[in-house]
Amino acid sequence: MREVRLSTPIPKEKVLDLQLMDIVYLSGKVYVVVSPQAHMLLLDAARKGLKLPFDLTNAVVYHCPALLKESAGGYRLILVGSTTSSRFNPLAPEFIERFRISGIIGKGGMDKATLEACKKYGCVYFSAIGGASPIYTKKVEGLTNVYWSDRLSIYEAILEIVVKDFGPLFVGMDAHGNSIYEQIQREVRQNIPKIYQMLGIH
Amino acid sequence: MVSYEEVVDFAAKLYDMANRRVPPDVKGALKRAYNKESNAYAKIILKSMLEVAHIAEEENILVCQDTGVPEFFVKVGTDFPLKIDLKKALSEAVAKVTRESSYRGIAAHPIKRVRSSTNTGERVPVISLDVEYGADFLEITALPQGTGSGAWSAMKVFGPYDIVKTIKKFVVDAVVEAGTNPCPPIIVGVGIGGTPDLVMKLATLAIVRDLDKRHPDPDVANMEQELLEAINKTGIGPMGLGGETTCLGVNIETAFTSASWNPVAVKIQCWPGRRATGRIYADGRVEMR
Repeated sequence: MREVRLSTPIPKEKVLDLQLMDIVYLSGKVYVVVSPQAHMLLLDAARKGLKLPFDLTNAVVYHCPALLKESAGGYRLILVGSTTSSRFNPLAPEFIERFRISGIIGKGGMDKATLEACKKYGCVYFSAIGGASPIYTKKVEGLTNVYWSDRLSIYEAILEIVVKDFGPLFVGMDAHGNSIYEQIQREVRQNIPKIYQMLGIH
Repeated sequence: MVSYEEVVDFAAKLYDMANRRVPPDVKGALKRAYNKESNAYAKIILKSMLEVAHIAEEENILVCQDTGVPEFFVKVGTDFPLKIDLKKALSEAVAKVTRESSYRGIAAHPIKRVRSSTNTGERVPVISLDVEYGADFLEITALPQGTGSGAWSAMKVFGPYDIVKTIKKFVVDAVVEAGTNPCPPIIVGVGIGGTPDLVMKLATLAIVRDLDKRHPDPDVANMEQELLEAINKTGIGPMGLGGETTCLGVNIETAFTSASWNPVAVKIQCWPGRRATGRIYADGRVEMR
């Protein structure tokens, strides 16, 4: 078991060094991209060769439906938490390729095509604990920018947050083609006959 | 006489409380699981979950950003003078909490997918009514149904053969199918019997029931225990990252059904097991647990 502290953006050599189930704590900027609409707007801009108002190279993207409170000067961050990443499976491979991000934080893991893109372009999937907003929110120093709230609803807008020792995050998919989710799934499949037998099903 | 405003306030407190704590029985089950677990990663995750329960309690913080689609189970005592628009009061309670606590708009139109910024809309909050003869209270259970705590459900009407085997297989298969998605260690509610619509409600009532309470029928209680042990042998583990703790408890609720068929439903609840129950009495006293 290895504990790793990293700063964002994460250079590719550090991404390649990460192993499955390393326990990671991140510090620095993290980008909240949590809606299909935000993903599609970003991809659309990239396909057209437009320059983004922020740099996603080696960045970490967070699948986090944050709670925000509108105040006089803009928005205040109330709560962060991780959502199920699998709904972004159809968009993730192109996203990783176009933006060369280094990490995705979410829960539940992502599919084979995403795993392949992680391997090809140097990206890892960080598994966060779901339903654990209190511990992760404590590691957020602040909301530094809200992007594209003119084009997206506030639920879908892109947020730039700054975190300190943000974790525990588990490397669920590494940049070498390994996925803990695939491994566990295989184990579960192997355990099923034994369980049926225990319950007298077969 | 209990006023409209008092009911709004009471329901709002319950709904917000449900979202801001891990109920004591669930916390107890997590502690036992933590002590038993031998997988080092699973132990770290379970420890973090216990920390979440602790911080939520100490600092009154929301447990999860997904505060869910609001659902209320209401029991009206026949000696409770209910003279108000209860549906309106519950809607107002949800809108009030959503606004004051900055909840996200989770509830959405089923086809257009437009979100409701108040988390209310057609038939939402979901309200189930029951009556209790001779009681002088209004009892409400708030159950926020988020993705982990609502989406992973299954229902099927089976024929009248191999009853016990069929039920067990259906439950295990539903749990394996859900896998890491509902944020394990999960709480499994099972409905057996009734009609197709009642059985889903039974499964939901099962996840509302205290984890330390077994079904009164010893055969059913035995099945709860057997299923719990079986599910914990799958290896899914906390957050689906492996381990011995996949499930914190299996609760079954039953009802008479047709002699020709047997509906079975499974409702999977995420690890925080969010729910809160309270009573407001005719004289205005309030209890919450």
